Amino acid sequence: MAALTESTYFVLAALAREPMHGYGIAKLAGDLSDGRVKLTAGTLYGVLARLVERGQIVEDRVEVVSGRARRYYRLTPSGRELLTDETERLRATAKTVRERLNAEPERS
Amino acid sequence: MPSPSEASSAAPAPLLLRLALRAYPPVDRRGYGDELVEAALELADGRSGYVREAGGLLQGGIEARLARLRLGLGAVDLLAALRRLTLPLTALVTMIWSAAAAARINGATIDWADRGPTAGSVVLLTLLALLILGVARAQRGIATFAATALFLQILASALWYTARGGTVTASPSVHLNIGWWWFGPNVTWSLLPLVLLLVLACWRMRPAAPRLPDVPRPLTEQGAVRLLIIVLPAVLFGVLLHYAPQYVVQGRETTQLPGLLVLIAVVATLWVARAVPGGRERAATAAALVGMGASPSIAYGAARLVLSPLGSFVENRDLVVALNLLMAVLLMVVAAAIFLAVLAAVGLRVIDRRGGSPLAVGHAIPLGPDHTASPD
Repeated sequence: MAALTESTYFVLAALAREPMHGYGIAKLAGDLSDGRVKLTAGTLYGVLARLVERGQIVEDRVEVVSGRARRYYRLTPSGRELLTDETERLRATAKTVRERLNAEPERS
Repeated sequence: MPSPSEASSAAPAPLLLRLALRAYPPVDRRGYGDELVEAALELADGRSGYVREAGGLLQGGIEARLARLRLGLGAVDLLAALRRLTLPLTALVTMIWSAAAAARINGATIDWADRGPTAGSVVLLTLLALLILGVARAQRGIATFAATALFLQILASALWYTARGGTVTASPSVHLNIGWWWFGPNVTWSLLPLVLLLVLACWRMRPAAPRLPDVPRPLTEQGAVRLLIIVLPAVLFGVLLHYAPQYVVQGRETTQLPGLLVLIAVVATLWVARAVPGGRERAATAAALVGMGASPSIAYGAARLVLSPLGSFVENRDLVVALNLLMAVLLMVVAAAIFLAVLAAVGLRVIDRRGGSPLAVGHAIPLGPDHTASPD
């Protein structure tokens, strides 16, 4: 499977612990990525639509707060597996690069 | 805090977001439009944030529209629609050459008037006869062979066209003079996409069902009826043009005939597409395919129509030709996009009838009192 985009990865990561609504996901994705991922509502809902379509997240519930409906999303087992696999892939890649950085330079 | 719709009348920034939301397909706006604007309002930090959010909504809307287009096109049953086109396209191709024959017999076209049958015309007539035979008898192999050979011959004519028609030409230079307002491109180029469709249609044609004793064949599967459907319009059209030579004039590079015929198909496309909920997806799809095949004809004709007043002001003929070509390409893209959208709309209606798509966020849980819960 192709690597996830950074936005998709952090959206999945935001949902790893508990169901969240759109604004919460965008804020947490920004925090988790040290501000690198700045999702607009348009991009966020594009990512959510794709993840729903692929069955990696589902809609959990709708809550009405101050007269406004908030839709919550949660990870499915398939989404959790995807997130785990991607995290493992990133970890392995980082390890390889770190080893290369720490190695003595080859002398010809 | 006011709802987005209330706020939109009060502040320009939410109005900007509401406007940007229009980029989304209506079904998405109905499904989760309010939620999107709410999230955008929360995520926007100051006026520059609103602009950024509006940009995000625009981008998201375009992506959502493209996703729906892909989804719709994926659900269209193109093969079934192609099968439906075998008979009408064969009839159309036969009509075009019957008109050419009429023009030649009554001397309206000089391209062929002073020469006997060429090798090209003999090959053409043989292929046409084979095509009619194959389609009428539902013999896929013969029909596909003849349609493919015909396509190649037309391609050759289009590539090596001469004013005299060429020795291997399959391009009768017929010009229908039905009014100052109608123009069409070279017959070969107009026909190419339609004959390509015919090749595909023949290739996907269902072979004739075996005859069973005491079981009558449906009318449209009877060879004689199919032959009549193909030949009758061509004969009528040929006779009409033979006795009305004022409508046929010598055309060196242009002809209106395919354009006129496919215009009928285009009108039918739009009409049928509107009536799709009745379950006529295949007919709508077939008509949209023909419309797409006809796009070059329509675009070229429309471009000439639009630019014809320029001819009296601009002396540089090369410039007029270049402008004509540019506008034709633009219009062709527009026409093709319209028919693609029709196809996607048909596909989406098929999906809706099967129970909807999970694509749009918000489709799974409709908003309403039964689905809401109070926060803890």
